[in-house]
Amino acid sequence: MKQRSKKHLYVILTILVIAVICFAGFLYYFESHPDHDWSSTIKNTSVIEKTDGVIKEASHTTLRFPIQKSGDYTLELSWLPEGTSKEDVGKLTSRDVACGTLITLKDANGTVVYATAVTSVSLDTKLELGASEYVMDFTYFTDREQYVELAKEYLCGASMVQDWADLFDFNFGNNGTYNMSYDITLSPAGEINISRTTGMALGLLIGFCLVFVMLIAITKSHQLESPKYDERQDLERGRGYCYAFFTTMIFIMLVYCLDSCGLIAHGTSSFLYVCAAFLGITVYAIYCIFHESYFALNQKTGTVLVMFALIMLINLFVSIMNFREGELFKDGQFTYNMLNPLCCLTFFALFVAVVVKTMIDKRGGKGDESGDEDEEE
Amino acid sequence: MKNLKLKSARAALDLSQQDLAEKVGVSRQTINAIEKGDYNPTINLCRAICKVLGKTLDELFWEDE
Repeated sequence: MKQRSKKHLYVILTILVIAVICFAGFLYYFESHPDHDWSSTIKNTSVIEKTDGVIKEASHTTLRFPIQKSGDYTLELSWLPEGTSKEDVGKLTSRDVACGTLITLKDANGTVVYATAVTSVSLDTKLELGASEYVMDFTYFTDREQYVELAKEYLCGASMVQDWADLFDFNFGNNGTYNMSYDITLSPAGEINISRTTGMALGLLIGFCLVFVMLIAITKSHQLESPKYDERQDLERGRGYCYAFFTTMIFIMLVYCLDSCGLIAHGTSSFLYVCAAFLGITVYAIYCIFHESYFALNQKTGTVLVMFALIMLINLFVSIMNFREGELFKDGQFTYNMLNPLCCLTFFALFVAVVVKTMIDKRGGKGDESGDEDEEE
Repeated sequence: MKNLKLKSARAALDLSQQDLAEKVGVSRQTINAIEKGDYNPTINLCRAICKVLGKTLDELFWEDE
C-alpha cells in the first residue's frame, strides 16, 4: 500500500512539473513574439507657464504611436495636474489648471481620428485605427474665442460649437507655472497583460497543487487517518453547510442588487463577491464549532488552534506590510492583496469561536460523576 | 426527553461519557446529547450502545408508559 501511494505521488509530481514547464515555455514564447513592438505607454510631465493669459509650454508635447496592424484599439488617457490621481478628476475644476487643452490624435496624413477638449481628464475609449504612425498633440486655449476656433476645426460642426462653448468653464487658474502629468496607453482592444495575469493564475494554481500534494504525501507517508465524524456530527455539518450556502447566496444577491443600482463601485463589488465566499466559510465553521462537529473524533483541537493562529498571524503581517505600501487599495478598487486581510479576519473569527466555545464548556461543565447534572467538559 | 435509562445503565458500569463514547466510536458530546434528549440516534448507534452496556433496545430506548 505504501509503495503504491509513493508511486501515485511520483506520478502526480511528474505531471505537475511537466505542466509547469509547458506553461513556462508558452509564456516565454508569447513574451518573445509580441504582436506589437512599439512602446504603447508614454508617461511624463508637461510644464506649462501662464503669463498674462499667454500659455507657454517648456517642452512641446507631441507623442508618436506607430501602429503596424489595423484593428480596434483602446486609448487610455489621463491628463492631470501633477500630484493628483484619477480619483480626483471629479473634484478638479478649471481653476486648478492654467488653460484648457485640446488633445488630438492624427494619422500620418494629418487626419484627426480622435479629439477632445478638456481641463483635466482620465478616460479610456475604443478607436478603430489603420496601420500608420499616429501623433498625439496638445494645443492650449485660455478663453472662449480660442476654444471656438479649435472646436470648429477639430471637434464638431459650426452649429454645435457655441452650445459646446456654453458648457465649458473658462475660469482658469492665475498666471504661474503648472505641471501637468500625462499617462497615455494605446493598446490593441482586449489585450491584457498576459504575463502578469498568467503569472498570478499560475502561481495560485501551483500553490494549491503543492498544498494538495503535500497534504496527500504527509497523510500517506505517516499513514494518518482521514477525519472521522460520528452520525450526529455529520448531521450538524450538513446543517452548517446549509446555513453557509444560504448566507453566501443572500449576500451575493445583496451585492448584485447594490451593484446593479450603482450604489457600490464595480471594483468594490468584485471584492465583495470574494467576501461572500469567506463569509460562507466562516458561518459554516462557527456553526460547527458551537455544535461540536468541527473537530473530528481523531483530531486534536490544540493542533488546529495553533494552525489557525499561525495562518492568522502570517496574513496579518502581510496585510500590514501591504497597507503600509498602499497596496490594498488602488485606483478606487480593492486589489488582490485584500485576500490577506480577509484570511486574517476569517481565521481570527474561527480562533475566537474555538476559544469561546472552550470557555463555555469549561464554565458549564462539572464532573461526569455528578449524578443528575448535565455533563459537559 | 432525557434518556435517564441510558445514564443509569452507564453509571451502573462505572463508565464516564467519554469512556462510553470511545467504546461506541462517537464523540462525548453525542453521548451527552443522547442522554439529554437533544439527539435521536440511529438504530445502528442504539445497537452499538446496547452492546457496550449489555442491555436491550427496549431497556435503554423504549419510552416509559
